[in-house]
Amino acid sequence: MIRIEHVTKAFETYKQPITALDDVSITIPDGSIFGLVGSNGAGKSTLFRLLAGVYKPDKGELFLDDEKIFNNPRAKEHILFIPDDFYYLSNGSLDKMAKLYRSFYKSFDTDRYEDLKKKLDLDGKASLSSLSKGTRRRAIIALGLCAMPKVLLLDETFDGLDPMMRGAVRNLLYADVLERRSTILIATHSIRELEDTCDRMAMIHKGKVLLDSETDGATEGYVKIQFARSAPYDSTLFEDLSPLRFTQSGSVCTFMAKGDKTDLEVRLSSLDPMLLEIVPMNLEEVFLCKMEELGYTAAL
Amino acid sequence: MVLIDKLSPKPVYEQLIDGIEKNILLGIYPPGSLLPSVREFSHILGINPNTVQKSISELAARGLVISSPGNGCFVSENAVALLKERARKRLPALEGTVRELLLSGIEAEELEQLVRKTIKNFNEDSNGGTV
Repeated sequence: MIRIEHVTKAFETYKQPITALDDVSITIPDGSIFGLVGSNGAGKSTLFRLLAGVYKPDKGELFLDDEKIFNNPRAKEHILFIPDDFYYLSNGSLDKMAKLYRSFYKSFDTDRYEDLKKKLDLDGKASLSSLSKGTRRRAIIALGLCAMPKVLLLDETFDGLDPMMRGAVRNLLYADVLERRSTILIATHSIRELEDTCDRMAMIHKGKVLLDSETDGATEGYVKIQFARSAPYDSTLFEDLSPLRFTQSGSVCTFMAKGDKTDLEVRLSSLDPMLLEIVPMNLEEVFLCKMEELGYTAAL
Repeated sequence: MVLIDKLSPKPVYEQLIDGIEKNILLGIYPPGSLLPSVREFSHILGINPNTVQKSISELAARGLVISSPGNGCFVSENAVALLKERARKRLPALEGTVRELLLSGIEAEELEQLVRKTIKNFNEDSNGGTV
């Protein structure tokens, strides 16, 4: 189990210090596939580097099975981080990298390595720098799985993979979780990807956790509303619902709100509508709403 | 197997529950039979094993399947009866719909025809059709 407890991390810049993570607490049970989504610069990669023991938290602490992670080889040998910009030896081949990994990770499974090379159509002798982005990505994920870590941190995992390999890699991750109860953390921008793959998720924005829940229940309590009536009105009519993403065109408006569907139906029906539709939101819309609540918008 | 529509707004675990229930009614997974394993569902459908586990736990809570550690998961003997009982509870909702349709001016004869035609088609292909 991973416990992130009240972690704060700031960085000095030429202007003023930037707080990349601000009092973040998340608990991740064994055997889960945990998705981390967030806006650009939200702190996803910082959190991963903290989990990998690369950074020391300014405040708070991170634990793997009750062991502190930072500066602790006993915890770190069970954690493997595949960053977006993966480091590989210049001119190094996959086989050479496997040798390097074997020296760090005692649990490295050589048979599995040979097997995965075949399954994922990888050439162990080719220089990694000569491979395409997608092939290199595939090779590195194979390497990560062979190290048999308890915790696998994947930053933008499926980036550059074709649909066929995406499916193959996803099934490999599922099998790993099922057989070894390993824990997989995936940071991504693609909410679609996350909905498909992860059973738990957290949204972070500007260093704070906006939402931490099971993926299935994450959209509960958020609805999209379409409303029309003949009497003139504007957004103030719905003020008590704190509408988000409000747009109006003539007598018809759409907006998003929090609340129970039946409850909202009753309240809005009293406003004499000609048209009233209330539908659930998808995860992406929830995410946008949450960010707008915090004043983050991209004006286009 | 079950078909999962990943673009549907309906959560995958609910789709899987619905699919398995339908297969029980169709006799694809008859009472007493062994359900495919979590691993099989996960691998064939390309979905998270924890999601599969969640669906199966829910089916077990509904009394439709019984998990036997080490052996897998079996369809319970009274699964079909339970599903029938649940379907019966939906009849009042149909009554409401019929009333609404009649109120809107739909002819009684038209309604009766639709019901008869649906039953006839159902009996002909007898695969339960799609909902």
